[in-house]
Amino acid sequence: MRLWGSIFFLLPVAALAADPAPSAVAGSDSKTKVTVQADVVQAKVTGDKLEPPSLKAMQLALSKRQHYGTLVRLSTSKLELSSAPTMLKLPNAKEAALSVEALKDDVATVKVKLPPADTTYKLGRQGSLYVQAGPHDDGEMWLVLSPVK
Amino acid sequence: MSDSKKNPAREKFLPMLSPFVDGELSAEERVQVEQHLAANKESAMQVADFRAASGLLRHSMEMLADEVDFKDFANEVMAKVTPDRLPLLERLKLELTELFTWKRPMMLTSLATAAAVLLVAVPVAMKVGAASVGPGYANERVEVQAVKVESAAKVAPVVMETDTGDAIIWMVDAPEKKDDAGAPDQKSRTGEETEEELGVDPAGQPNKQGPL
Repeated sequence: MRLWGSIFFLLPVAALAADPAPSAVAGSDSKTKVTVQADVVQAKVTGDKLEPPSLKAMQLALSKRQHYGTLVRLSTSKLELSSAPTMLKLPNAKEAALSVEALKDDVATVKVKLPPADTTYKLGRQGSLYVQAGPHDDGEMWLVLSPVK
Repeated sequence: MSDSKKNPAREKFLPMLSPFVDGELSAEERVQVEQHLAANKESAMQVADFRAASGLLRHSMEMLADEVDFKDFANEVMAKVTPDRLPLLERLKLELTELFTWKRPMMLTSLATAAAVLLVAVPVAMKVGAASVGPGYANERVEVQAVKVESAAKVAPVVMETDTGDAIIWMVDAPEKKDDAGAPDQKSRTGEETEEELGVDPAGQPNKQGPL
């Protein structure tokens, strides 16, 4: 009896754990904010410098097409995005506009307007979005958007 | 024989004399026998004979025991009693069988509790993992939906995905668009934005590259 009693007690707890809170509001909502980490990275083919060393993952990811010997993070910021564009100035005089296009079933669709490209993507718990942002200082500028950890 | 016939009391107590010497009588019986021995000399002499024989036997056994070395007695006996150790798998099977035979309620309760804990802990851990990065991250991986490029930029997007879940958007040089007369495209001249959907470059070939 004690065994069955404990099982029946735990079943509702399990149900709550499976869905402890209501899902996020469907559709876009100006009040709903999504947080991303935005890094601006300077990449050069020459040299042998990773600053910080955690950019090794970026170096490996990009190496399939282009090997960069030098990667230097120029800035990092946590951005709270909403349906209204959030502006991010880059050192190469470009400006990126980030906004939330939709938030459905707790999956956010983000729009990144960084001339000449306009990218729309869904956020994920794993992985980052790397957007080539044009030339800068004998190298390339990259905008990296990652989950906040 | 004639004595026992003459003395019925001795006949009655005769079978109790040996147990009396061995200390196997109850307290009441012992008192009765002692009273009889006090009154009957022959019974008393017989009890004395029994005690002498018992003492002699004990002494003989002790002399024999003194001649034996009992140092490894226990080990030798256990070595003959305990069989060879079973293989690990057999021992495990035997222990599990004994557990489920003699401690079944405890085993079932433990298994049910462990299953219930897993039933709760796994979803909670998954939810905590998803919740730790905040709202909007229900997706496991990043998914690029579309990339639009200004035609005046003369670049085309190339999207790559990695095994680690990253998405990379390269801007590669695109060939310049020309009309039938060979002049550059009118729209590009005016700077009007054109849209090139993801996966198609100006030459019409797919640009997207899958997981590397």
